[in-house]
Amino acid sequence: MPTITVEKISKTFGTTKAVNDVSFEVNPGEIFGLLGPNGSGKTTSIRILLDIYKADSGRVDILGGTMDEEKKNRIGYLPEERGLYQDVPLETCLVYLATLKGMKKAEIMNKLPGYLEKFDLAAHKKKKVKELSKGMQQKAQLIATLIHDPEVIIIDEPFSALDPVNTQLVKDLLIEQRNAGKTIVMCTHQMNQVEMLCDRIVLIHNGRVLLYGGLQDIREQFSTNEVLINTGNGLPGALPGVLEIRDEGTVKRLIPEDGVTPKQLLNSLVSAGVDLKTFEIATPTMDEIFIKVVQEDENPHE
Amino acid sequence: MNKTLEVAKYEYMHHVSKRRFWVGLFLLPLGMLAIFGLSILMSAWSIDTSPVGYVDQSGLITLAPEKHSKGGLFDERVQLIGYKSIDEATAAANEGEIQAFVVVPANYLSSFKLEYRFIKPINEGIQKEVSNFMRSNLMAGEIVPNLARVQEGPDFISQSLDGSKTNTPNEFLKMFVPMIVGILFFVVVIMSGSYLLQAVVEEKENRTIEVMITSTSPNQLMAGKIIGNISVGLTQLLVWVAMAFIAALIFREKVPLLFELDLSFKSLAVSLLLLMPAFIFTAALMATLGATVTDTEESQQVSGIIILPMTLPYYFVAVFMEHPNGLIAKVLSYFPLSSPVATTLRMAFTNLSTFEIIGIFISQVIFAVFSVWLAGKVFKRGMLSYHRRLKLKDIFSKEASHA
Repeated sequence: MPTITVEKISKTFGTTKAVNDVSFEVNPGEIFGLLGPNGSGKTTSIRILLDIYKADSGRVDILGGTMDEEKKNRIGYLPEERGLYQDVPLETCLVYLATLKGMKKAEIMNKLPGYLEKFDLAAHKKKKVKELSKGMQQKAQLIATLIHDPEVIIIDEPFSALDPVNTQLVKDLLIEQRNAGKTIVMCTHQMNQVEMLCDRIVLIHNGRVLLYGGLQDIREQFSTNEVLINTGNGLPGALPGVLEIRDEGTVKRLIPEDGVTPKQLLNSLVSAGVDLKTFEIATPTMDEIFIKVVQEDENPHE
Repeated sequence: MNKTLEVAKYEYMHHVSKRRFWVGLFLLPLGMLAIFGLSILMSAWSIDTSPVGYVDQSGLITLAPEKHSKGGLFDERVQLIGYKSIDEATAAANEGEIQAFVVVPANYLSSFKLEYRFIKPINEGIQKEVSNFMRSNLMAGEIVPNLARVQEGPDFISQSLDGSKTNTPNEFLKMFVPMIVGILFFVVVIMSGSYLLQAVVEEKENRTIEVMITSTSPNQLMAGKIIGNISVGLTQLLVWVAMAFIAALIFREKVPLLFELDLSFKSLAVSLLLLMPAFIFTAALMATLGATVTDTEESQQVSGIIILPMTLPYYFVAVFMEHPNGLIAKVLSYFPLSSPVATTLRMAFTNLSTFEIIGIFISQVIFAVFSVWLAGKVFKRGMLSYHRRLKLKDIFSKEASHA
């Protein structure tokens, strides 16, 4: 049973239709990518999901029903617009935010030191939040999102402002949470992170759903029979079944004729005596799919 | 409810743990003490303790006035001197031997009215001295007719020697309670209201608001902020009242003027009764403003809209004295921001009916409830409007504008 069901939600602000008939489901134990260009309606969708905005039409079910005050304690939210109380010590700020998630003081004091250690913030807990670097504040906000052990985690751009070490830390943490059966909705523009972490995605543009489904399924849906190769020697001028050869720097892309499979291309290369170092089916990256789908939506007649 | 209390506790501790709170807590009473001390000192210096005469036409005065010499700066007792006729007393006054004289009329026992003819207007000290003198004389007899009225003391009909001016004893002292209520209201409301305004604006500025409203409802959040910040104000108020009480205990022997203040219990009770809804109204209004603006600087500019109406009763003090039941006085006593001061001022110069006091109180409670409702509504609409000031049409339109 899905943890989150979004069914045909729409929302208009003045004359702008921010969200238009958007539907998706998110299941327990998965990381779900909510993708889209800036201003596409992602944040509005999340705010409707969290009952900050009311949808003009449609329905949202979360944790087995409509949103209520009790359910707020079971959700962790890291908004795009980061915010912590600046003029208070880090520890005070995190304790306060955790109490608002229904945690008892003793429970907080039991769990908080572990999180501070994990995020390398223990030495800074008495410092005012405004004295911490942007990356440190980002990690502190992640602690506030996770400390109450939420069943649903909604995170908007979790890797912004993080260095590679901390990015890896957060990635490991998200995988750990997914393996623990948590439901995670992640908004990000970093498609490489989507490829590494997301099980399923929805791509929204101009408030409408353009893509929705499993990550692998979508990539396969957009894949062609093109292959990428790396050779020890040169390539013959013509190869059977190959329409075009493109030099892409360290690799060469072979574009096959219609109906020619990668397997047939491999046979052609071997028959032609090409010294193959690598042979890879050119599955499109999420970046490529994102750009292609969004551009096609913007210029449907091109 | 628990989250409301958590928010209130955080807001309270956040302000109380700040140095500026403690500085304000002790600096203001010290400042007020200095100002009052100075004004009492100036008042004591300006009190004329030259003798006051009396002319007995009733034959009731049998005891000679007590002789006393000036006992210090704050000793405002005056020497009473008897004269045989009004002409004799007038001549003495004109020659500067006495500052005024009292005529005890032949019908005093039926009227209990004394004529007070002055060069310098009567003050509380003279009034007390003459009242005691009359009381001593009337009670010296074996049989005292109308004892209760005698103990109550005489009424003074006061006019200048040439009859051109009349006066009632010390109007300033009558205004003491309204002034104090006003100052306390100002300081406490402005301080805690500013904290509240700042808290709401800062949450928008540092983007904490979105995290907050996914942990608690906007109504709980707003209620918690209002309770927390009002508690900060009430703490200040309690400490100041306690300080004033202790100061009064210490200085009562040394500054007799303190006894003459018109500290009517009813007036004080009504002031305190009206302070709470006024307090809530102002705090909610500050929070409303905080939710509509985008940064602290802008919030400081607009908070003047609230502070200015609070001072209105002081601009109309003369009107309150002349026409305490006039239109201006009535409107200001029902208008929420000016109500506590205006109502107390009116009570200093007229007798407000219980019916009217209840009416004013109920109106203030209605304003307070409305303002909290408005604050909640505006807060919901304006909380995510990070970059744009909320307009009136946004507040009452179907849905909030794009964040």
